[in-house]
Amino acid sequence: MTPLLLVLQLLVVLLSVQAQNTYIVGGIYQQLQAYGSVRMLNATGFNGPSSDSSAIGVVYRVADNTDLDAFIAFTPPFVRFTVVLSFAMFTPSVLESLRNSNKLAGVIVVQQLDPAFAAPTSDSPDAAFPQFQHSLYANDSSPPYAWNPKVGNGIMYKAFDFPIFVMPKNPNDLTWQQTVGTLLKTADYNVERKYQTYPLYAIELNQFMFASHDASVCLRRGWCYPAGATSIWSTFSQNLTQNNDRKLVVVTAQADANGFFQDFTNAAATTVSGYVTLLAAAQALSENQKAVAALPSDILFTLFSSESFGFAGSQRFVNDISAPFTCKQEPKSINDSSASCGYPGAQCQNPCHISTDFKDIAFDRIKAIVEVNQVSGLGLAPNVLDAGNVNMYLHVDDASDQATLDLVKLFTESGGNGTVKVGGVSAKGDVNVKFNPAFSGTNRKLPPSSAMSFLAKKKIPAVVIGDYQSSFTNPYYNSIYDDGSQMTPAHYAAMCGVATQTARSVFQSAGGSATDAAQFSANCTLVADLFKCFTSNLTCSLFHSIYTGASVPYENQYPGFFDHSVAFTSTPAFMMYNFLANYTAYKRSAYGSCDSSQRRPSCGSPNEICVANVCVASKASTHAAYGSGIEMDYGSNKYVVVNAAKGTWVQSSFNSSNIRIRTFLVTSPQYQGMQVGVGIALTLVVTAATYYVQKFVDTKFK
Amino acid sequence: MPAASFFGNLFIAYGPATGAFAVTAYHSGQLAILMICSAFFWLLSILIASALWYAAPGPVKSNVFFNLGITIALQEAFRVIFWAIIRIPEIGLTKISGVPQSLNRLKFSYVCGLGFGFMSGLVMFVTQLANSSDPGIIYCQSCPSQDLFFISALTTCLFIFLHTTWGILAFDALWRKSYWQVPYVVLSHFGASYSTTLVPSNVSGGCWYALLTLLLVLFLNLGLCYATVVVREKKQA
Repeated sequence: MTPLLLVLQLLVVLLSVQAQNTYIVGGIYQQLQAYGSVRMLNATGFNGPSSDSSAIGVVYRVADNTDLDAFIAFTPPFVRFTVVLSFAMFTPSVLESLRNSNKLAGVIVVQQLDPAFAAPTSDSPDAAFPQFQHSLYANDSSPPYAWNPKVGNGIMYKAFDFPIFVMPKNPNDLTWQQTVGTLLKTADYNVERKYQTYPLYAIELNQFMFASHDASVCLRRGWCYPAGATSIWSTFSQNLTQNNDRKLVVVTAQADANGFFQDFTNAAATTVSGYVTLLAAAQALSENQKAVAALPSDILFTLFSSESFGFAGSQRFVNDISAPFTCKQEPKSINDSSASCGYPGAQCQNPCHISTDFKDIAFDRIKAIVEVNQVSGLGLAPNVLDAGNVNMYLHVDDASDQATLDLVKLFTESGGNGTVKVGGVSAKGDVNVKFNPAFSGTNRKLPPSSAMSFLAKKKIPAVVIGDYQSSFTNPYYNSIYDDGSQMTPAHYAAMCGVATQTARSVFQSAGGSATDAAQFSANCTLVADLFKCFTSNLTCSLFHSIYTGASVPYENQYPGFFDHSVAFTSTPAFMMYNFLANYTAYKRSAYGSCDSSQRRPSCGSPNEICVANVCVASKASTHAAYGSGIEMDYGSNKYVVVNAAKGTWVQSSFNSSNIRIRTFLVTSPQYQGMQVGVGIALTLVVTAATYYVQKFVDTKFK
Repeated sequence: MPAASFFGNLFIAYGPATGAFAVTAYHSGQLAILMICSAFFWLLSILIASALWYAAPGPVKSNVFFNLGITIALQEAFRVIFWAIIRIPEIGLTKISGVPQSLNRLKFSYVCGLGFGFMSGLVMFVTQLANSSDPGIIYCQSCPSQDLFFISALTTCLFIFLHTTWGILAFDALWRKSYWQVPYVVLSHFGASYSTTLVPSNVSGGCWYALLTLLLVLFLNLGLCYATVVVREKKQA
């Protein structure tokens, strides 16, 4: 009877605990919208913040160096802090000082909280020479040239043993406003109490990532996936084939980017400016397809993905087109897929290729490469822009090579001294985009670019167009602040000028005459619209005219992890493919209607896409993009690191519900010590007192 | 550091009562069983109170003062019911224990009170105790620099002993038909319980007033216990 009673009582107590618990926990903890940083690994190790489960610290606000000094000088015993940091202070040296103070629990970087957390005038988490170790010059004896010197702090490639979160700027999002508002309040509360008068607000950061060790180990254990996505290419030449002697002109741009906080890889000036310009150039050429088709050479457009991960897209593409291709495992049926090649209907399962059309490209016959790099002119001083003068620079590897110089001349000498006049920009007048050789004086060789992957195999005349001569003028290379919000009509005009000149020069490089080339002009309204749609409005009417399935207006420009079972993992990449296919279409026919809201509408052939509910046939294809140091092992169906010297970036998997921030009040360590003291003292005193009272009573009742 | 808070609160709330149990009733199976039974009766009282609360209309549900009153009345009613039940086997139990009836009655009423106290202490505080092992706290409304869990631990500790003394006083009254003690028990229970509403109030320093009130009532109870039980026993001797 008694044990039963005891169990019953315990049960009731437990039930009441459960019922009360939800109520109490809700009163203590406030969950905040949290964004962490994904752990990235390569063959030699990992970078990014700690992946341990939880870190708790009292909120401490560090907006500037004065705050930092105060923080370092402040040494209360047993207390650890979660530092709320401004982006201006988000540098490796500040993080190191915080870390060395031995009281850091974690860091929350705030993009814009209040005036004290204003945007820095420049910020770049990337290296001084981004991707140097995978570049054409990695083995040179001279030190890497600093393209990104003023701001490139390389924080993206450092590992930290504490969690780091970000509170991004998103004024349209109410949840965001609440979250930042709450964070601001906790920080203000603690500042007011000088971090000494408890209770103070603390924050628990939780950022568990499954990955550990390095890429090899992590891939084998199945906790990582190769960083990558899909490259896109197309051509106007319907009959592109290896079996002739036509030359090829490659026009290329980078399709995505990287950032410390991958969720907020905006890359507006960093890469969007380049691929939007390329798309506009393709559109300009498509205006007279007949003239383009009559050219003696083929024009190949490529948009390489995951270039920020060891030039993954271009290196893999070049490797595949420069070696003879044999398919070891053909699909058994039309929608066949396998464990190592999950895309239904992939044209080859081993090696896995959704499309094998790339075997029509003759690497050896590439006669020129034109790469559109950062071309928005974002970093130009306002007065230069107002005056309507934008300089673009043509970077080359070998300034003594005549074929290369000839290619440069197509830009710098055609169309009135290498200048494109873009009218109708604003009341301030026309914008003149002038093309100059970047190597006048000293040749700094190529900036980080996809062209390097081609040149590494073979010497080919190549130019890389950028809005910078000796170093990046873009103040936000791969930064969270490169969100396109600073762009003005003059910037769009600059991109439009580059698109026009690229179309004309490429036409000439492919054998067209200068007179004929002059007919091509990019559509400047299209440039502006494409840019705005890609950076902040994926549901815009321009995009909806092609694909109506996009539901969220914003997606980042980070490639994510490579998935062999889908063609596109992000809306921007899918839209790039659609536009390129649409502009390079060789046949538009109403075979019947198709549904523009579907990613894979039924248009009959894999080369057809659905544009405005009409099937359009083009040579547009996709190509897998992930580090060339990683290959699929078709025996075990797992990716393995095959060459540690090449790009081997992989991304850790994680459970997003494990990534969270919560804030609450805490008492001081001294107070907690007092609680223990009071508890022990009370227990001892009362026990002793009871003992003596009992003795006393016993004697009285004798 | 959250672990320190947890152990601190654990010792404060249940340490003294456990110590008292260890030195007085732990060695006697009879007393221990009696304590568990009385704890069960306290649970029954709270079960009925919560059933009534559950069935009550909205405005009644949110009226803390009213609900508190009902709960106190029910607890005291069940104390009386429990007394009525244990008086039946009392003669036999006294024989087994081998101590004088008067002392045995004192021991009975003491462990029954302790059982009431323990169970009310558990239900009142165990959730908060579990939460105090996590890093966050709720600060006390009336004493903003204090952790509510800490204040609750102190209140819990005091309430266990208040129940113990009320048990002694109430049973003594019932056995001796000295009924004036019963209203005192009920009234002081009301007083003590209502004083705790100061803790979450806006009265500055309210938590200290509440604890002080509980302490005063406890000392008053102890004094009365001494006066009624011990002093009378001396007289009879």
